[in-house]
Amino acid sequence: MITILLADDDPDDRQLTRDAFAQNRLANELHCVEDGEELLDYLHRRGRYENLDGKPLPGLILLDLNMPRKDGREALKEMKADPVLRRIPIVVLTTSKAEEDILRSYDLGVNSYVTKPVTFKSLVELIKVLGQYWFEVVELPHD
Amino acid sequence: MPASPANPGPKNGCAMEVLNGQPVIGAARRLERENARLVEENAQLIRERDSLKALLANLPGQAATGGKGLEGTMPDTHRLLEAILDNIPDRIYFKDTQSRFIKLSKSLAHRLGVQNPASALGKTDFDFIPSESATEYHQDEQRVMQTGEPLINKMERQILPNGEIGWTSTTKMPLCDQAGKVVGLVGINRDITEQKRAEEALRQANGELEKRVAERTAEISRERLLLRTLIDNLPDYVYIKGPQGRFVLANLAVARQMGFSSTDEIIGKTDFDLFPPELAARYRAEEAEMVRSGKGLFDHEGPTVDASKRRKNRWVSTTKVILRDSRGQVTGFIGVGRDITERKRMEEVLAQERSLMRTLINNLPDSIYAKDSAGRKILANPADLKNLRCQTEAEAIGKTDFDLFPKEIAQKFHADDLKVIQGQPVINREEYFLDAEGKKQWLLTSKLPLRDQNERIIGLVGIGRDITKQKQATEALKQSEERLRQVIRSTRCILNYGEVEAPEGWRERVRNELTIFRWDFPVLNEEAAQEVLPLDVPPGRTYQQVWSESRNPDDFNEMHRVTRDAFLQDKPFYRNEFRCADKHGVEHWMQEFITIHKLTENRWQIFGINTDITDLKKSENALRVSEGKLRRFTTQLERSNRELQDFAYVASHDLQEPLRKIAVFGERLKDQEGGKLDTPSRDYLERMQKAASRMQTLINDLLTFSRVTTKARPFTQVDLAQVAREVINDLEGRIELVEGRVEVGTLPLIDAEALQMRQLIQNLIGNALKFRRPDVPPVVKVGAQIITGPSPEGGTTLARRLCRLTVSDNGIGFDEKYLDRIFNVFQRLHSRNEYEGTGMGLAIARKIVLFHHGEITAQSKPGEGAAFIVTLPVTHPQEPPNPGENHE
Repeated sequence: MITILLADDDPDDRQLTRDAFAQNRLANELHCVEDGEELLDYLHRRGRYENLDGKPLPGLILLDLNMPRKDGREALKEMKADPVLRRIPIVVLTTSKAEEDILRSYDLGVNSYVTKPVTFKSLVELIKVLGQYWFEVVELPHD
Repeated sequence: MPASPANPGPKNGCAMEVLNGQPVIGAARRLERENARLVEENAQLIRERDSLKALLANLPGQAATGGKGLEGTMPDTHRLLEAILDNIPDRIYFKDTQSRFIKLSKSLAHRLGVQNPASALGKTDFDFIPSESATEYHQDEQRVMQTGEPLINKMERQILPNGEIGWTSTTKMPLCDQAGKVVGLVGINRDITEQKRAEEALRQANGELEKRVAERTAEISRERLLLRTLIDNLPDYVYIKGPQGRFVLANLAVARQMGFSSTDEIIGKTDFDLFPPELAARYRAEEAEMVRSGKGLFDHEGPTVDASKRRKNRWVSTTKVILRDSRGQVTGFIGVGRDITERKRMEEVLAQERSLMRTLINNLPDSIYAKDSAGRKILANPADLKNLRCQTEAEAIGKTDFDLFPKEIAQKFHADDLKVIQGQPVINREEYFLDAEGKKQWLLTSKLPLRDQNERIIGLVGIGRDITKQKQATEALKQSEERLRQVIRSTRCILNYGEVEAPEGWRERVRNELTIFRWDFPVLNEEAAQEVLPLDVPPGRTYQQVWSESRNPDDFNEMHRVTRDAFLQDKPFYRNEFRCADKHGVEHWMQEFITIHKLTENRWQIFGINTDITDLKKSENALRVSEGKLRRFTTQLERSNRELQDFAYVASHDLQEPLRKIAVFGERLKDQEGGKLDTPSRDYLERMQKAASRMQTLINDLLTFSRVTTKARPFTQVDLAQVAREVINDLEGRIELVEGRVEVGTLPLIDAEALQMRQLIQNLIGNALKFRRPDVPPVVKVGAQIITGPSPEGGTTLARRLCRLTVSDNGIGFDEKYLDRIFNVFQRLHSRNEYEGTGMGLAIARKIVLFHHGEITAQSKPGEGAAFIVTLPVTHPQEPPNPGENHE
């Protein structure tokens, strides 16, 4: 089963996303990290994630841009510079509608850029669409 | 008649005719008549002899049949003979073969000196006359009788018995018998002494005549020779032609012209033999015309040929007259021609020289003219004609300056003319006249007397050079010099001008001492200088010297350094500031600005401008203080501005999160727990959610507003028509909903930030659609035109192209007194219940317009629609000001 990694510093958003996953009855494991540092530690199996070494990397990353310590842009840059991590599809999920954020994200190689929906209903719908698209429609690389 | 050895031929006869010596002619004629008479007589004698012969033949009485008739009527023949012999003056005799007289006439007997002829019978001449003559006679008679040939009219000279010489013409004829045998002879002697004498007299007269003729002829001949020599040696051509044009006389000059050595070659020939046909025809025509008109040709100049006869390169002046005889018939032409080729050539050379001269005169830029002693133009070249405002020389000729110029100007010219005519040349006079536009035209004129061959002054020649430009330049220079003097006098500066000199090797030495420079740098405007820096200048000293000493020594080091470096580095100028104390002890700050013009390695020309900068110094200090303040203030302002922008952006960004939460959790509450809430609670929840939603819109708008300056991208060329199409496309749903229409006219390309243009047009169209009148479908018109506006730097120096974009609608409009408010942030004219919105749309629009260095305004009346007018530069000379930093 493919693991989905959510990087978001906002606990409310993390909770809402989990709720939306539950509502959609997605069986995939959703793992959450709170900032860029933690995201990269998780991906590199470092620090508190050392014990995960050997386990498969997440199949999809949902990335917030504005985070403390290391924000989503920096993390994105590092991931896309890594020969292994660069293959993981990344969907930016942020409140920013700024044109320059969109452009820069795509420039850095994100696969999709999505603004956080204002209503929960829309969020549920979004997660449903994302799940269908990434796990049913597209072919993802295998390890 | 004996021929004259000196005058043979017909010419002599001709001369005789001319001389017409009457006595000689008479004698000759008489002689001829006499001769004719003798011949006639002789013939008579012969007839008589023949009769006698017939008689003698019939002597024996043997008469012819016809003789019978005669016998009866005629006397006896013998008697007849006797009668003849007795009476005839000629001496007649018959002799026998021995020359003895048989019968003789009485006249002979008398001559022989006997009375009776009978007494001489049987005798011979020897018996009567000297034997010399007798022998001659005897021999003649014997020859006649022996040969049978008669001797006729033999002239014989005789000594007469009286001792005189007589002349006889003798005829002797043989007498034959019937058998033809000579039996004797018959002789007739006629005394021709008289005749001979006459002949002798005639001969003598004739001789005399001949001599005189010879003398006269010689004289004529001499004269002829003289004349001939004269004619031949005349340099002019002299000739006479006959009526048919044949030359009967021509002198050597003619011959030589034709290339002959003798005139004989010409005589008898015509012009056609001698000249090329066209020339000969011409001469012939001339002569024909002379005959026709009866007039001669006088000094007629025409072409002719030289000895080579090939080229018509000579000229001749001919005088030709008709020769007529006494009856008036044309007998020929006499002509005199003079070769005038040299004269013609001279004339040609003169004409060429004249033409050359004229060309020269006509093409000289100076005006050249000549006047007669009365001041009338006799020559004017084109340059002069231009001055006279005449088109052709003919217009000017004969006119005086008074005809050509206004009186006062003409008088000046005339005064000079008078001097020149009195022999006093006028050299390099500057004079003027007025041209067609009334402007002064200056001439530098020289006038010289014009003299004839006798050195008499007959007028004057003038040369005028146009010096108007020089005059104007001089005038301008004078004016500018005067202006300069005024400036120097009135300027609030001390001006020095002069030279600086330094010794050889100054570059090494100047580092230590500046005094090696020798300054000759006087103050130009001492009067003005005293106004700037009043100084006590004692007699014998200059302002410059006193001024040097008034300087504050504290400034010397810096001054020296600047000055030395300027010279060492060959700078074109340098500047010093220093303090001077005036005569009242007041300190002035002075600034000198020195311009250096290097003449040689150690010599310079320098110019100094010194100004009092005391006030400047004061305000400079004040400025320095306020500048510091300003800089600090600006820094603060910039920081606070940046903070404000950061705040607006970050705040609006971060404010969104909690709002979204309020909305989402409110929604979740309503969905999950809605059924448990009572009606008022659900209403509160909905109001809360609406407030959150509105707050979100406000924040979004604020974010957009703040981004106009903080997140702008570089300007590019933007097609406003394309932008408008995209906006309408985006608004399609709304337009359909309100059944509206948006009409877009021609829109230009302008330099702008593309996204902001889209925002601008969207806001304006959105605004127009929003404030529609109820029940009236909105019609929005978008148009633009290019206009010219003032330059961005202000002022009117440079015009620039502007795009005036108009978005007008048929909506509710507004009162223009709110014009100032509608573009402000969060300003609304209507309640939210009437028209939704945050009141940020037009504020954002204005911010975008201002960011593009444009303007926005609106025209409207309530209920009559509104028009928003945006003016934007079409191009931007530079990039827009630094859009600021990114803050995220």
